[in-house]
Amino acid sequence: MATISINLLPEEILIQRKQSSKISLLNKLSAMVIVVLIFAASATLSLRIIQQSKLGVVNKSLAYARTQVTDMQQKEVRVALLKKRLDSIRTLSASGSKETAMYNLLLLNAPADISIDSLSIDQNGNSSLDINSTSLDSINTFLSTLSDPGKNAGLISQISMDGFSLSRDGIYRFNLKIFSK
Amino acid sequence: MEDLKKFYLKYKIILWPVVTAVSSLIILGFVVIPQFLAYLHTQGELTQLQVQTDSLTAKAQVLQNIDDQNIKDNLQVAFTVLPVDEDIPDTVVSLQNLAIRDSLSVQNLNFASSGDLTKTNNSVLKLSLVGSKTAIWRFFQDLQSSPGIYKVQSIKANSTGSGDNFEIDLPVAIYFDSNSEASVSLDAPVPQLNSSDQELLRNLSKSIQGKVVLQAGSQSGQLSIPLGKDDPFK
Repeated sequence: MATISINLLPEEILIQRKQSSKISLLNKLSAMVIVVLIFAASATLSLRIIQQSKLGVVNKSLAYARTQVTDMQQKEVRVALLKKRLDSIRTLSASGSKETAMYNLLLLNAPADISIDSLSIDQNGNSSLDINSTSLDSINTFLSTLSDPGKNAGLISQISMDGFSLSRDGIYRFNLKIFSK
Repeated sequence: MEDLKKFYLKYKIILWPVVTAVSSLIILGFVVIPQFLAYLHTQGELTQLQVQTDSLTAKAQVLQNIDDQNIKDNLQVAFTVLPVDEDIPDTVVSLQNLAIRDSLSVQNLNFASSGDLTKTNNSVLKLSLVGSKTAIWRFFQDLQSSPGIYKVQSIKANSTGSGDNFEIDLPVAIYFDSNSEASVSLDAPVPQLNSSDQELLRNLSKSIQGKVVLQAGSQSGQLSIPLGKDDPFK
């Protein structure tokens, strides 16, 4: 048999009960929100306090490291100065001497039969020589050496001969102009 | 009192939620959010400071490991090879002695200041020498290996007519560097000497050891050559 429930309470009381339960729920929710927010505020403040103390420690370490480096600044300056000086020395020494290399090639490698009356080498390595010799073969050998890239160490780009003459005493005279690379 | 009671009874449903909402907003707006933002900002600052501290600590360690006396000695070598100013008397004596050692006769020697071709300064010493072509070549070699930076600017040679001898005019540039300062900064790393710098220092030290000196107080003015090899052409 199906049961029938009949509420004999007056309607006003029912409405009042509903309202009370609503109010109670609202109050509970409000209390929860306040508690959560207070918890969040406490947690944030604690984090900040820990962070500040960490910051203090790091600042102290930084100050100490700065003092250490400052105390050794003179040493650092000396090292920097040495490095700078060595770089200058290296730069100045790096550019080889074309003039002396050309001297070596022209004067020291000339055959014995070749006499050099005068030699002039400018700062670019360009040279002018006044030569005399009794032997055409020696002259040929000398010119071959100068024009052979394997033998002239890549120093010479161009050779020109001026005023080639043969005197009564059998001496060949001429002027050589040599242009450096 | 009665009014209050009436007010409370009328609005009691919404009173507590309103108070809660206002308090929540105050706590959020004045405590939680500002403190959280400050935390994030400070965290970035903390990281930066830590990085700075680590770098300075490493730099201090590097500096501590550098032998100061060794650096001072090397500086002396560097300043001997590339001096601060043109020490003309000393240079003149050195070059004269070098020429005499290489069996060259010094005919003339005069000094002229030249314009800067590079960033460093140089002076030009004009030498007139007489000797054999091999002696002249030896002189060039010795100039190259002597302490100091010398550059032959040009060569003019005329045969003297006797054998292998030449009269040669040589302007020689002598380099110096008046800049004797270096600046460092706290945040910059320590300049390091690499292997090429070490090798250069070794070579420079060797060249200084072979320096020809004229002993003071010698009556006959004889040369004293503490080191150096015999004639390389033998």
